[in-house]
Amino acid sequence: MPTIPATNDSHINKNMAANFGGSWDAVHDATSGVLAASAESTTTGMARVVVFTYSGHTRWILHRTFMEFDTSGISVAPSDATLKIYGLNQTSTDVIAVKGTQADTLSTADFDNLDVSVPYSAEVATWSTSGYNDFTLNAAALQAMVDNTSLKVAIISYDNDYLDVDPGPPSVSIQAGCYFSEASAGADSDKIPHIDYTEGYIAPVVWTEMESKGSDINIKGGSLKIGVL
Amino acid sequence: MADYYNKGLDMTFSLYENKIMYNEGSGSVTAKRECTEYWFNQQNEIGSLEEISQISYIVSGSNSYIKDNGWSNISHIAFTESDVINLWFPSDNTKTISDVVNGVMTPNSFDEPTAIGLIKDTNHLVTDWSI
Repeated sequence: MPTIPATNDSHINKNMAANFGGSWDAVHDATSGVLAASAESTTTGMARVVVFTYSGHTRWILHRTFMEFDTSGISVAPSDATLKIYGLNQTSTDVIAVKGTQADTLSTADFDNLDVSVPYSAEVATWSTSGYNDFTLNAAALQAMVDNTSLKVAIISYDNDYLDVDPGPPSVSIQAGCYFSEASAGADSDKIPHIDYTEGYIAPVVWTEMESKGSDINIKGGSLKIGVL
Repeated sequence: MADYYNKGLDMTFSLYENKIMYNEGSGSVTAKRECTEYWFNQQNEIGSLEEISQISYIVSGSNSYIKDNGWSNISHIAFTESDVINLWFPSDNTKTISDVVNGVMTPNSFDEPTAIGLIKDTNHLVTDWSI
């Protein structure tokens, strides 16, 4: 089964205090955040929602994770594909993969570069902290693997971020952690995010007669074989 | 130290004679301008001092560039662990970072690792921690 490792993977968070305009809507709808330091091989905040009291003021923190996969070699939609993310920690967090629209080099401005109207998986309601967690990619994701040279994905909290539900007053701390591709250089090289997929197949079309009147026949990625029975 | 291109802003930030410079587009060019406090205040796309601090950290290697260059309205930002303590306890110099950790743990009923993680997340410009 072919495998595509993740690249350009990291997480971005928005952290705002009530006395500086913070609220659930403010962090959820923010257009930029703080990008995690590069060379980070793991995070406890892959998808994270925190509301807490800090120095007398309520604070909201929202983490989102972004990653992409090189699909330039895929010309036929895979028959199935699974995004596999090795878990690290978990506290009551359901997560989901959605379409990412982030830049080719992740930046602080990518915090809101995702499209929740295009989910790439169903809700993942359980999170293993000692093995891979599977996101079964849906038809939209499979088609995106053909249509684009890279599949860009965002991983977010399902119950709060995806559904845009205010987690409520302090204190709330729900999160799921993961390994990133940076782990590939060390002892955890077997824990990096990746996609396993089954190559697609287009069944041959058999004509008994083919005719073109005044138009061309274009053959892409194949050949026309004419035999004599 | 490295040039930093922000695709969202479509700007490249670079260092020239210890000053953070910017130019439009990808890649540092000869014609560029200094990221002054006045320039920052005219920007709509860079939302906070923390963001410009993060950019300056990437470009200059200093996590306190805006402080070192005398920018105003930074009294709510911590650049060192001592700043974290002083912001929490502005009139009590006997307090330590352990008091800040307890200050997060107690009202929120968080365990110590969670509290420490949140303190670091909230004060992400601080790079040298004793916790």
